[in-house]
Amino acid sequence: MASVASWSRSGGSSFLNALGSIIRPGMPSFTLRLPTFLPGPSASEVTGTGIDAGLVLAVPKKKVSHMKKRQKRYAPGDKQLKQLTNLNRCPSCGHYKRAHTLCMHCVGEIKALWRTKEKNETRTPGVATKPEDFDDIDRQIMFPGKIKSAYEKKMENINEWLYKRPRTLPVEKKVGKK
Amino acid sequence: MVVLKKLGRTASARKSLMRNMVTSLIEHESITTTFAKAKVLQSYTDRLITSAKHNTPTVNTLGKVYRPEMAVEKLYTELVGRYVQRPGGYTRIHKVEPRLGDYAPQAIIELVDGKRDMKFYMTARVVARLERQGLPIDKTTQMNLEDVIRFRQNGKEEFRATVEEMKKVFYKSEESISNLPTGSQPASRVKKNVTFVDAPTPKVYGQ
Repeated sequence: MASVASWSRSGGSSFLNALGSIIRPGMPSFTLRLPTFLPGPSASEVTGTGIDAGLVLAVPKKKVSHMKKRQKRYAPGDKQLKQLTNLNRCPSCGHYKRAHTLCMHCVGEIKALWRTKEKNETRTPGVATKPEDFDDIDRQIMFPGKIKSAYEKKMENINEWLYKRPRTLPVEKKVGKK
Repeated sequence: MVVLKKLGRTASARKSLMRNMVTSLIEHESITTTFAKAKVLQSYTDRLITSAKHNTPTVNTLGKVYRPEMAVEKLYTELVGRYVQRPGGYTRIHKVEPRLGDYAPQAIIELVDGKRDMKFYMTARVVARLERQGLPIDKTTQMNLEDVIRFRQNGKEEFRATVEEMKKVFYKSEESISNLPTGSQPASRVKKNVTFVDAPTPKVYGQ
């Protein structure tokens, strides 16, 4: 063990190689089989010829100027926002919509209509299901206070923070034209 | 079956995806997914319904859906009965706006003549608007109208009721019909500096 502790970096590699030839797996008392924690000799120290052993890698010669950088990033036409030319009017609400595509506003309204209809169909009249259908004592028994998790509280006011698709613009009325 | 689109999946993953989507489609009658998936699902669903209609002993519908107690039950009772008259084309795809977030092209795929037939409701809404404005039904709407009530049971009556409902829900106030399309499509384009003459009567030879 004393020889391990005094292992120095200069000439260490030859020393290790020499050790490697005599270390065999299964030798029980030798503890130098964990030298990976120790700092090993770098390439420059082995060859002694400076950084990266004389190899020079390709690097940019100069800093790319503000103008050139922005020309590269934002000038090409295919990277810019394109004008939509495939627009027409929604036949039911009159706002703009993409041609050959449903108007998302009307789709949402019709889906909401389905939801209310199905809710009314499934709900049998005369049977109390909601908290307001019960009197005070029954309500306390049927709907005891529930501790809401942070996630449930967050989902309560989802309409305030969730990004929604904005509605398309209305088609302006043409004045003085039929 | 020839695989036309792999959807970036292995065969087993694709099969699971199709089973999953067709089960949802049968359950809810209409689902929103990407356009590519909708196109593949359309042929899958149409094949499934066709094979259920034929109902030969070799037909295996159990392996093509999940939750067969719901899906196969509904397929053989409700859907087969609904599509007895219809010679194919049991699903319909509508393009919708791209998805928020990754801008993937999306589509609504629906079972035709179902309770969530978007074309039926959209056409009813357009007819309601036209009636509310006092305009005649234009050519495209007439075509859509005939399409949605053609094979539907009590289609005409149901359509009429839906139109009245749409009038109440969406076009109740005067303000709601203030900025709507007033004219139908423009009449045939009139060409300037061109005079049309009648075609000359063809000469008959050999008389």
